[in-house]
Amino acid sequence: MKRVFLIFVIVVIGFSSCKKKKPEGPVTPAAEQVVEVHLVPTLDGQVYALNEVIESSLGYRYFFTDIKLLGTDMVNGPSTLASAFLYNYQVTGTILATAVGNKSSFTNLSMNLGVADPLNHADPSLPANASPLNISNAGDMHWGWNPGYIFVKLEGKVDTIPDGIDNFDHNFVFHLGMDPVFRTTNFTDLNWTVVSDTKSKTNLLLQMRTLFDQPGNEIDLRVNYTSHSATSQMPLTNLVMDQFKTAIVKE
Amino acid sequence: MIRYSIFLISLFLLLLSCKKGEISPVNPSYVLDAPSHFPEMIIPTDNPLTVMGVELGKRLFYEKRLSGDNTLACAGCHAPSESFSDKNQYSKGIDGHFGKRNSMALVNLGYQKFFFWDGRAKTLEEQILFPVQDPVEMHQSWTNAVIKLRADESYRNQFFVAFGTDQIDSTLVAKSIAQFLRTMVSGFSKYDVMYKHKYSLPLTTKEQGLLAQVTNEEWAGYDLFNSLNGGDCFHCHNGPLMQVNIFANNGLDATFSDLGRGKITNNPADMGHFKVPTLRNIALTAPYMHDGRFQTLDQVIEHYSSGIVHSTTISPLIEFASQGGVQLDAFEKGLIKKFLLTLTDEEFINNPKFAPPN
Repeated sequence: MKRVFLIFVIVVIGFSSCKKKKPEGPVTPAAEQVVEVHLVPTLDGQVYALNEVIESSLGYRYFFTDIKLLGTDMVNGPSTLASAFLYNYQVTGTILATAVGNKSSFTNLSMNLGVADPLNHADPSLPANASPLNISNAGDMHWGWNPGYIFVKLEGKVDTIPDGIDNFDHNFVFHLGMDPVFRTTNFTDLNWTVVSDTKSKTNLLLQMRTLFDQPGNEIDLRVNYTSHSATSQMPLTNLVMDQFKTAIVKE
Repeated sequence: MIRYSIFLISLFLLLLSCKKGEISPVNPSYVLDAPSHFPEMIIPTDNPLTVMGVELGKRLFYEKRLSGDNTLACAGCHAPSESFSDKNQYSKGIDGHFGKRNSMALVNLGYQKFFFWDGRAKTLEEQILFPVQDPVEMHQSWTNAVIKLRADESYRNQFFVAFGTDQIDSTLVAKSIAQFLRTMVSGFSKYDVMYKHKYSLPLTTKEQGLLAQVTNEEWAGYDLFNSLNGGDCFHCHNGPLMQVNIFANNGLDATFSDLGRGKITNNPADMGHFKVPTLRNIALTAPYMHDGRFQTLDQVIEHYSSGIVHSTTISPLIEFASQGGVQLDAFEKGLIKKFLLTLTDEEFINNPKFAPPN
């Protein structure tokens, strides 16, 4: 009897002494490298801020209130930096895309300004929650009236009355999209800056004067102040899109 | 001897079976009934939808004890029959004071990215904390509100089952109401089946039946709504949610007595900007605009047709501002109105899941 009791007590003590194996000391994983691509609007060599008035070479004044870009496939060969990206200067500043990766993988970059067919016409509710192409994130960069995304959105105000008074009495709106407006642009030998132990960044510049005020290719916003990429607006739409593409250069 | 051994072994097995958290309330996940053409709702990881959390949230939404004098619940300014908005221009608080803005409709809130007309709350949980303490609304400290709830044994039980604690606090109240509000999804109106048809998305038999009821005038109104040279409404109101998540100045005033978003950001470019609301159930949510200045849809349509007032911060999306609006004729206005009426979702309004608890 006593022996049985003794064995039992030993067994209980034995079980109670069993504990989960304590984890060994913390293992510090290698820090992930992050790369950031920025798109910095510039005016005459300085950073351009929204609502900052621009003097046109044609003698009128205007300013931007919104600059947005929806792009896809920012890649360097087989290395993908971002399969889709949404640039919203007003809300998220200059950040164009960010990813885990090493800058050495992205010495060159190509990217689509827009969304290629057939993805451009797919159900916008289907992309993953985090994707800029999901309707929750794309928001006003998606047309409900014509299945497809707005690739580039440029909005602002223009002063059409040359009386020296800033009344900026007219809006300008360029909503560039539709398959014929899809563009691809490339950059080589990008200048990457090491920001910290784990982060590197490269700047692309959006040269604002190139958009509407490029010598020989001026777009007079007092007259040509809107495009929603309708068929009748395609010549102007293509011109603005081409100049938008040209306006993006590496720093 | 054998009996004694059996007793000891039984005792030992009993001890082994004891684990921490032995009392775990049954609270299954809530399965959200979201329309197939909607984006996936992003639900905070620290506040997943549960059956008991939603049920508790519904009770709290209709709970008058959240107000200082026990007379006003959330539903007091967000009536189910009005798509959870208020038919009054300004809502009346418990002390007889009136707010300064029209009460917003509570519909599809789980898909929103900011809350209130000026976007001062970034999450639903944060938004819910405001009205209880607001002196012109429910006018009660959260401390008092929580004391009242804690005194009610049924609430202590419900909180325990929903959140595993009976230590009620404002955070848990907000979480449970947020859970309930996220279930309030409106996605079955004529507009929804028109949208799905337009996008070639598959329709259920029930939806096909509703599609068959859409009239030619409603389709024409939809086209006009989306036409650049027609209503030009789609810039701010499109997609399955019938809105875009932006702030805009829609040309109501030349100067602003209410600075709207500008008061939050102090950015001069934001002055007079307000959240673009959804148009879902718009026929039920009069009066309209942030200040409820328009009593009817006809007045709203007239505003965009000929009543646009220019100002320094007017949204560029109001493209025809320089000519006072889009200049619709009477027939076109009628078509737009007919289309707006297709946005009414009777199933949402009459859904017993959202009705006051018995």
